[in-house]
Amino acid sequence: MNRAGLAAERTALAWRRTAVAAMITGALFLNHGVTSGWRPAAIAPVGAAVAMAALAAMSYLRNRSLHEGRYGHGRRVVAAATAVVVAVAGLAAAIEFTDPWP
Amino acid sequence: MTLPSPDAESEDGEEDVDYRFTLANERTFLAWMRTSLGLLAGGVAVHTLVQPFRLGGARRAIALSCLVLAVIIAVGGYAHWRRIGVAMRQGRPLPDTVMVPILSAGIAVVSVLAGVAVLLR
Repeated sequence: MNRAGLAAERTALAWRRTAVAAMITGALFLNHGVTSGWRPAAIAPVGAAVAMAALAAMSYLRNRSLHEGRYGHGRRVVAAATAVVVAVAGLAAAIEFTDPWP
Repeated sequence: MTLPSPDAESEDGEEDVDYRFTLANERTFLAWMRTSLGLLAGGVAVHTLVQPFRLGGARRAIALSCLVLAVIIAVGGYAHWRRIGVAMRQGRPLPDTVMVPILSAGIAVVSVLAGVAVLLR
């Protein structure tokens, strides 16, 4: 293991924790989409859940490439992760404003 | 001793940084990202799981503050990650972030809102 190996290990674990956080958030969105009844507006929370699943998959891929010793392409993953979180938060705010309260 | 890299010095005077430091920067970004995801989950949870308060609109206010804070932290985390990357490549001291007071103040606001809503229910 080279000198960056342990740092890469810690970073891979951080990506893994991020994947878990994304999956929990996605599960909450899915729960919201299912419990609020099937109508056209339920597409929004389900779409947010799909985006969170994509973020989890992205985190897992970055985790694996770090394990394999490929440290590059961090910029793209970081930018994509930010974009997904901002988009989903905006979507959640839109749901917040338009959804009828139970 | 630094890691061997194919192009140690690029043409615009910026040197390549040891991977240990860029990876540490990435971990810091991920910690901010998890904070943001936690706030996002909190906003959605307040929307779906919390019983209605007597105070009209309290739930919506709490959920929206969580979501706004989540966006601020996500964008701020990315900007901070970029700034640190640039500073490291140019060999300058690492910049500070204003997100710590923003996060503290935001969570304090959400807590006060939640406390008021629970006490008045």
